[in-house]
Amino acid sequence: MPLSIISANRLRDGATVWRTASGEWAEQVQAAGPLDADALAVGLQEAALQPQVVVDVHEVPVTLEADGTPLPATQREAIRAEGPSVRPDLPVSTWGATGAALPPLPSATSTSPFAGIYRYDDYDRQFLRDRAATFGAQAARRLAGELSEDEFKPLRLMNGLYLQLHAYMLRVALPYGILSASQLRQLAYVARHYDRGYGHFTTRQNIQFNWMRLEDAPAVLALLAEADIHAIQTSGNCVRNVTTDEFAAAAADEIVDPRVYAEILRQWSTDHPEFTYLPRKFKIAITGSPQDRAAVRVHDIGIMARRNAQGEPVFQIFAGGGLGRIPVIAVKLRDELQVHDLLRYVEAILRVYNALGRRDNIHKARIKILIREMKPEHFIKMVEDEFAAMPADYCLLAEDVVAAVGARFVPPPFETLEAEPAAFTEALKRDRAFRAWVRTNTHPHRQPGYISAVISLKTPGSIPGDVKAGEMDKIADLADRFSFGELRVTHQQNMAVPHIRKAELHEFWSELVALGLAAGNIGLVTDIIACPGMDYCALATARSIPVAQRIAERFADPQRQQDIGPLDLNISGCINACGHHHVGHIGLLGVDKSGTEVYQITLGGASDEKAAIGTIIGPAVPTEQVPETVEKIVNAYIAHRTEGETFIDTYRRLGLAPFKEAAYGNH
Amino acid sequence: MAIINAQGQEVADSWSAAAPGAAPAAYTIISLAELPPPGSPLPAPLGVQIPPGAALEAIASRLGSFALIAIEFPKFRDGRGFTLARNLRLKYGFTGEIRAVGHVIPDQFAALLRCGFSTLSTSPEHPAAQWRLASSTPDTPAHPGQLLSRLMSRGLAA
Repeated sequence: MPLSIISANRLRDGATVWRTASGEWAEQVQAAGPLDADALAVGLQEAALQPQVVVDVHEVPVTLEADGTPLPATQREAIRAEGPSVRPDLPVSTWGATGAALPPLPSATSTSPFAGIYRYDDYDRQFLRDRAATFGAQAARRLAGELSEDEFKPLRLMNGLYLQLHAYMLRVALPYGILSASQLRQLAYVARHYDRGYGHFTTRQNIQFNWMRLEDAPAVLALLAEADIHAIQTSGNCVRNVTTDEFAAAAADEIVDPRVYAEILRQWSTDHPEFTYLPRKFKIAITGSPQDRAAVRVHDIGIMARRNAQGEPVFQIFAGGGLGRIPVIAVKLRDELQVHDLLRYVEAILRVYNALGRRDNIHKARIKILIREMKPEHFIKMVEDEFAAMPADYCLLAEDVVAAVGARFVPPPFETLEAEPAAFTEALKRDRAFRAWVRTNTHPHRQPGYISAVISLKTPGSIPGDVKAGEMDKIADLADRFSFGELRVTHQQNMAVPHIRKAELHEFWSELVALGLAAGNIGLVTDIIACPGMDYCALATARSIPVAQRIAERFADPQRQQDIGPLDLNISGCINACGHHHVGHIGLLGVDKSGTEVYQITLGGASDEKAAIGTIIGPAVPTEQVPETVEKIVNAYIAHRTEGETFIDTYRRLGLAPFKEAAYGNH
Repeated sequence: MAIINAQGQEVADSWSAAAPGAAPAAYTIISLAELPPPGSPLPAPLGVQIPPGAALEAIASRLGSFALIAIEFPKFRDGRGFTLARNLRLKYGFTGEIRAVGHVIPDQFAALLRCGFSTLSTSPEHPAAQWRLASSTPDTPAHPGQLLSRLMSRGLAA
């Protein structure tokens, strides 16, 4: 006789709970009462009458161990019962604020006055406080039954609060990826006192806390507001966190400072009265230089600065790019848009999308589908008509507005330095490990004598993008010491320290070595982008983190990685493609095949100015064979490459055949 | 169905829905589908109710005939009505009453007003008291919002 148990997540904290024989909700699966079909139907009915106690009530098929303990039959439910498989050190238990007095907020004593973040004034900050208070009232109305779960869900999502497998997850925006040391300390504080000691950086320059209790979330949003941080519109069918190049305002090749326009777009889209209930989520990326470091062609709107024939900065506008289950490279809408028309044009695009985007099928609701179904030329015409019909002064981005927002970004007090100080060149000569790290983990700075460095969050064996609270504090200290208190989060899930004196780079690197954060693998095969996968995510169909760990361990030898050279390897745990597998030079997509995780392999994807969607090379590979298959593909590249040729260039020259042969040839 | 005005107060409704098939009468709201062909005489004042997917171009030339336009919200998550209202105000200069009907929630009150709605019809799940509460936290001089909305004369708080 098939048996089931009933599971749910507890409304007030999101904890995974299991229904006992007496109708209570227990945190341990062992306490669940196994039910036959009739008892299950009754139990589900009873549970449905408790919408103020539990959410997402569902049945879980089980088998029984010899002693009668129920064992969930699917891997997803087994992970819900046991916690993330990649964190055996986090057993099922309660967590979060204990009620004990907490230490003072880091923002009370640490300010990082020179960091290149947007400087809030009291009104800006009050706006965040008001938003946190509004959310607190909404959560209270939900707990009191005034708002149904159906009504509350979009409201909590607009404040970054998801319900995942084990708990609520709070996604906090790091606008355009820039944060101060002081802000990072505030995030560490949240991780330490309200979560379980760590956070996870995503590919969209956000940080996620995986264990956020609903009843703590308003307090957390309020304390983040004190450090000018928010979670507004990090989820939901609205304009999401605007992303940009991690070297903004530091890169040598920049035409405009993308932070200013990203900030303008952030404020414009925040609480936008017209565009808060779109057909689907909406992502905008902007890059200030002709070299695309923000993957603008795989965003709903991509904005790229360039100079026109007169030498003035203008924007190229793309729309309809995206990954997910139907990957599309964006269509170019405008080759040349005047800077003052930016908001007007973006608004015109969104107006057409909001009116006409599909709402009947969640999988066809993104703007890319609308553009495809309408044909790009028709879509462009509608946007242009909408744009032309706007009153002349409507949403015009006058120079003084841009200047006033730009003035909020304090220029770092750079010193006049020697471009190539002897201390730096000598350290390079002397220290081979340092030299190797500099080659991969640094980026030229426009200010003579300075350099930008990337801290890899991909030390082989670690969880890509995860940072512990203690590490956050130490990285914040390094930023204060070496980089005017400024940090960046990259869309490859690493952190960047933008303004380091070259003369001090060796010292900086030595500190990273001491912290165990000196992996010199940026852009190399072990710098893997991976989504959280089924260890955390309610949508995932496969566990992407363990696969990333196994591959990174296989290629861990630094010399070997250097020899392989630049290679983007991206892993997604489901078709929604948060791990950007479509644009990895090697992409891996985990799918569930009758209860077993297998991985589909794509090759040839790219997210730079030669953006391309990868091609599937053949049948999906069982999880345990993935590292070996990746190695065969890499070896095929080594065998076929010409002098100095990168993996992606070899692929573009030779096509799929030699790699496919290498991957499947022996089977 | 209670009618809520822009101040969040319940007000008496001078309008009623036109009976299906009946000839248009003053102070009734007829559906777009039942709107007589262009050129037909229309009573005044007249209201029309439009679905969220309505193409405004089709009725643009007749907007002057309506004192009220009711915009349907099949679900509160369906945001097409916001664009319809904004286009009515911004693109077509409609100055009559715009009313939200269907499923809207008090958390959308400020957005509805900013897009140009004048009234809304609420459901028993969201009684007038909830809207009164929602209306008590608009932008006040003490809370003028983020920098951009303070800098820009038109477009954000329209």
